[in-house]
Amino acid sequence: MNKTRMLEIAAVVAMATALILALVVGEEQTMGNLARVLFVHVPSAWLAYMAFVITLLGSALYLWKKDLRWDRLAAASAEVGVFFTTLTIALGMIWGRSTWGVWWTWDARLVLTAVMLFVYLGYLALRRSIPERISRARRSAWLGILGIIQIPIVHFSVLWWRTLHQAPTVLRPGAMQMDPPFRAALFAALFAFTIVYVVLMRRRINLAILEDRFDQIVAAEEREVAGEAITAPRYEDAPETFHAEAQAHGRTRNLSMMLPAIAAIVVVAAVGIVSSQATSLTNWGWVSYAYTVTYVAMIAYVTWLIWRIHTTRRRVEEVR
Amino acid sequence: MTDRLVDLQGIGVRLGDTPILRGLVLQVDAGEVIGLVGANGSGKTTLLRVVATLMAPTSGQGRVLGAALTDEARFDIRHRIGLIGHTPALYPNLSLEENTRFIARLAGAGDGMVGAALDQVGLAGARHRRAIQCSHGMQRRAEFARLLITKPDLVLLDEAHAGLDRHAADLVAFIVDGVRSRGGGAMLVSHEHNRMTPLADRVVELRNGAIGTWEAP
Amino acid sequence: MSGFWTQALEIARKDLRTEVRTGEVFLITIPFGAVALMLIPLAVGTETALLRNIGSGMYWTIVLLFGVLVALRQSGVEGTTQEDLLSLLGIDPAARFAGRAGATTLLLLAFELVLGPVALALYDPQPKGWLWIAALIPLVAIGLGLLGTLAAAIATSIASMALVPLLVAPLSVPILLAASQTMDGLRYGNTILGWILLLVTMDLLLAVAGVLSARPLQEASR
Repeated sequence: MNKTRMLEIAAVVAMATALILALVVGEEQTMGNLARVLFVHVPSAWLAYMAFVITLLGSALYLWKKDLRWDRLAAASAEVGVFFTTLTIALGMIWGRSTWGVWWTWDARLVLTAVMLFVYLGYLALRRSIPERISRARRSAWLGILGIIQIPIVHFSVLWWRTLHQAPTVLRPGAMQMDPPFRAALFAALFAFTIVYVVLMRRRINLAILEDRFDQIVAAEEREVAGEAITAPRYEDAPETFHAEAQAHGRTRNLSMMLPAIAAIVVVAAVGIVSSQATSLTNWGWVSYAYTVTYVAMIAYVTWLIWRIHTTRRRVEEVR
Repeated sequence: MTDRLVDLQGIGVRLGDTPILRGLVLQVDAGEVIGLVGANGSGKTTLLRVVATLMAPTSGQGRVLGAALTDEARFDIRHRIGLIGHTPALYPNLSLEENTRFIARLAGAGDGMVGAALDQVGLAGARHRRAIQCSHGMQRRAEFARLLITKPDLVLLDEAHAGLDRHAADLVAFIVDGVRSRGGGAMLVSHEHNRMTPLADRVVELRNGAIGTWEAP
Repeated sequence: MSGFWTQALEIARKDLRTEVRTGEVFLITIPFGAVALMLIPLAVGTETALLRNIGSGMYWTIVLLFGVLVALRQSGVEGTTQEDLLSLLGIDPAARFAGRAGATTLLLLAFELVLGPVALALYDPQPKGWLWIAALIPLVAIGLGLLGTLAAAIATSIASMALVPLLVAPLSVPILLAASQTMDGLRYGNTILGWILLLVTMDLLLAVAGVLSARPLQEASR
C-alpha cells in the first residue's frame, strides 16, 4: 500500500474522529448547536490561508531555484487553496444565515476572503492560458507573490473602511467561550483537515507530474519524428467510411480539476439559498447542511483527481 | 453547368481611392487550370476574392459559374466554389477532425467522410490536435481535406504551395486533377513557378491591375 | 447542402465547443461579474436596507453590461477567413445569426444562473414571484443574446469591435427596464404584465431584425 493510500485512510479516520468529537461536544453557551458549524468552517479557513502561503513560498523558491517542482507545488497549493476558500465562504454563509439570518455581512474578514478567492482564481486562469511550461511558471510565480503581498494591503483598507462605518454588532467566533472539550474538537478538526490538504496536494501534484510527462513525450515526438504523425498523402479513392483509431495522440487541456467540486458547492449553495427562502432549518438542520457540503465537496474533489490521474496515466502509457 | 466557368470583362476594383484591378479580362473554361503570377501587392488575392464572389467589383462585368457578379444568383453558386486563402480558415481551438467534421456537416456530407479525407491528406495521426497547435503546412493539408469533402466545381488556391513539403505539394496536383476530371476548373496563385507550370494549362501574369501574358524566367 | 436548422445547430455547437476549450465565459467573465457585484457595496455602503433596495437592479445592470462581454468573447467573434469559409459553404446568413445568437444566449443564461445566487447572498434582495423570475431570466438572456450578436454583425471588423458595447448599451434600456421593473413589481405587488410583454416584444423584434439583416450585413463589407 503506497504512502498516498495510507494518508487517505488516515484522512478518513481523522475526519471521522473529528466528526464524532464535533457531535458529542456539549452545546456552546452562546451559540448552542450551531457552534458545531465552526468545526468545519474554521479549519477550512485555516487551510485556505496556509495553502496560499505555500503558494507564495513555492513561487519564491521557483524564481530563486528555477526548479519546476516548486512551480508545481505553488500551482497545486493555489488550486487546493481555492477549493478551501470556496468551502470557507460557503460554510461561512451557512454560519451567517443560521446565526444572524443573513447570507453575507460586509465585515473585513469576509470581504478579504472573497477578494483572495478572486485573486487566486485569476492565478489559475492565468496558468490555464499559458501552455508553455517555463513561461507559465515564471508569470504565475510573480502573480503568486504579488497576490499575497496585496492581501495585507487589502485587509488594512477594508478594515479601515469598516471602522468608519458602524461596527458590526455580531458575535464573532473569537468571542466565544473555548472550554477544553470544544478546543479539543476544534484541534481535532484542524488536524483532520490538514491531512486532507496533504492528501489533495499529493494527488494534485501527482496529476501535474503525469500531465507534464505526457506533454513532454508528445513534444519530443513532434521534434524527433517531425511529421511522422503526418504521413504522405494517399491517392487511391477514399473509402466512404473510416473507422477511427482508439488511441488519441492529441494534447488537450481540460477544464480545471476542481470545477466539479466548485460546481457541487455552488449547486448545493444555490439549492440551499432557494429552499431556505421558503422554510427555515432547525439548528441541527443547519449543522447537517454544513457537514454535508464539506464532505460532498471533499469527496467530489478527490474522486475527480483520482479519475483524472487514472486517465492521464493511461494516455501516458499509450504514447510511450 | 456552362462550359465557361469564369468570364471577367473589364473588371475593376478600387479600395478607397486606390485602384487594385482595372480593365481585367479573364476566362476560365471547364477542365482548364490557370496559373496566376504577379509581384507582391499586384492584386492576386483580390482577383481570387472577386472570382469567389466575396468581393464585388467596382466596375466591369463578370460571370462565375453562370451567375453575374452583381446578381443575387451569386449566392446560389457559392457552395460550388472552393477557396483556400493564405490565412488558414480553421477554428484555432478545435481539433483538425472537429474542424473537418463541422465543414462536412454544413456541406451535408456524412461524418464518415471526415476520417477518410484526413487520412487521404496524411493527417490521420494528427487529427486530434488542435488547429492552433498545427504548423502552417498541416493546416493547409486540413483545408485540402475540406476540398476533398465539398468537391467544388471551381477551385481557387492562393499561395498554393506555401508551407508544403514535397509530399504535400503533390496534394495540390491531386486536387487539381480531381477538379479537372469532374469537369471543373481551377486558378492557382503560386510563387513556386516550377511546381505550378506543370499543373497549369496556361499561366498569366497580373501586372498593373490587368492580365497580361507571362514569360517564364 | 444542409438545411437552415442543421446549419444553425452546427454553428451553435461549434461556438459552445470553443467556449468549453477556452473557458473564457466561465473562468473570466463570470468571476469578473461576481467581483463587480462585490465591489459595488464597498463603494455605496453596506446598510442592509440600501443593499436590499438596489440588489436586483444591480444584478440586472451587471448582467447587461457584462453580458456584452459574453457576446464579444473571442470564441464568438469570427475572423474574415472564417466568415468567407461559411459564405462559400453556402450557409444561410440567417442560420449563422441564429446559431451564434443561440450559443450566446445559452452562455448568458449560465452567466445569469451563476451570478443570481451571488447577488442573493451579497444583497439579500428577498425577491418574490419565483415563477415569474424563472420566466424573466431566459427572456433577458434571449434579448441580450440577440442584441449582442446583431451589434457584433454590424460592427464586424476587428477595429470596430470595441464599438459593440456602445451600440448595445443604449439599445438594451428596454430590457433593463423590463427586468428591473418586473422585479420591483413582484416585490410591491404592482402589475408586471406590461413589462413582460415589452420584453417579449423586444425579443421578437430583435430576432426578426437579426434574421432580415443577416444577408445585407454580410454583403455590406464586400
